[in-house]
Amino acid sequence: MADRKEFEAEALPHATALYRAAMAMCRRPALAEDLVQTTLVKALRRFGTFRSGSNCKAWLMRILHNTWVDYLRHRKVVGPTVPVEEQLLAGDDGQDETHWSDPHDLLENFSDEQVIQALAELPDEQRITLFLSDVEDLSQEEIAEITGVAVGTVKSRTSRARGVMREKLHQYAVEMGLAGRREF
Amino acid sequence: MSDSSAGRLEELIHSDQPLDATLTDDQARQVTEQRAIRQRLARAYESVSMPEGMAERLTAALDLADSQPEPQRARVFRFPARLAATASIAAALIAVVLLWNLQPAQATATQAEFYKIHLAHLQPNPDEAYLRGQDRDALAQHLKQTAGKVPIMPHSAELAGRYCGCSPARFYDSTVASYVIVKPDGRRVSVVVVDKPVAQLGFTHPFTRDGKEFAWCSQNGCRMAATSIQGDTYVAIGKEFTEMELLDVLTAIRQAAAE
Repeated sequence: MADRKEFEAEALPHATALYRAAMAMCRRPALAEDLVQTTLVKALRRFGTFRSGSNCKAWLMRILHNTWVDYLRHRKVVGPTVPVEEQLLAGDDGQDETHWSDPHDLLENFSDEQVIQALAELPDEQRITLFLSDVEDLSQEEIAEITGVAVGTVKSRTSRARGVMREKLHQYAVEMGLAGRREF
Repeated sequence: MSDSSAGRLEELIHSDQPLDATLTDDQARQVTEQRAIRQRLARAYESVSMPEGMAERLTAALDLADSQPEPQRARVFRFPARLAATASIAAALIAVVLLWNLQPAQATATQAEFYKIHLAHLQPNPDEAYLRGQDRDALAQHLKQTAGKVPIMPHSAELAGRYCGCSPARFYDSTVASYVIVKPDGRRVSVVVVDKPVAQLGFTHPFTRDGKEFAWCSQNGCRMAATSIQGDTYVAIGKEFTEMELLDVLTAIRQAAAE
């Protein structure tokens, strides 16, 4: 068994980040708790394979992501998927022709819950990719390793997610009367 | 847009560098907006923190993992017939719960409110089984609304034992399934199905009730009761419940299994 104290010093400071990531993945607090617990137990058992000096948070995120994918597989909810590249070819990229005159001011009108909800409405892989990129500030290479896809796929998912996220927030702004349908 | 150009924009979004004149107006607008979204999103998630009690739960889980050999995945498949049997009882339980919810007049208020069952955990290995379908989703939704402070644990048998002061080894090797029942006030009782007779659990107070074998335990601050149902032993564990309440849970499960 790995050195418990060393593991705790390396891994436990990331428990909150893991919980946030788990919430971004499953959006259910009870399940997020289970995912984090399972992740940390797995991590403890595999701590011998962790390379000291490498990014522990990214390593834990990869275990969490695998745990989440396993969970989805067991629930058989992973239906047929359409590669994001196909979506990009098939539809618009979520960018409309409007522009935000002062994005910072506009976004201050939203509650934390609204911003989180906008992210929650993204497709799974886009949501997780954007979360890891923008909230956890991980590199595209690290995200590729965590999610098990090519860096190019991370780039396209990030780009697509950014467009959709902006569109969601724009819809909220329109609904709240903060923006017109075409421009604000 | 070329890869290098996209990479440059992504780099700018993740930095606070001033925008330079090489960017087109459209690129500058994109960077400004996406920077703002990134910063707002990161700030929004700062409000998400681990629930109260979760740190203690994680410590307990790591203690357990530290003290036990890694479970053999093969043991998950040792009890397929038994799991099928417990799954059928679980289905009966769900049906009863839903029936009570739909027809509260036919049950006492206490019964109608009490048995909200979260069947997230059919096996000790959390990777291996989760119930599917609308019933579970509805119950999970209820669980979400009534989440209490008592930890809910994938390895319920061992950890519930630990939380009530027992040695986790008591159930670890013989657990074939576990459930968590949530009362609307947030109290949770773990129901663990173990593969050994009631008499071998070592409980302090064995007795019979309506001709059925029961036992409850009070050593080490335990809050546990057990009974045998269709060849399995069901153990109810809940530190916030009285022994009588735990026995009522088991009686209700027995009734559900008989229907």
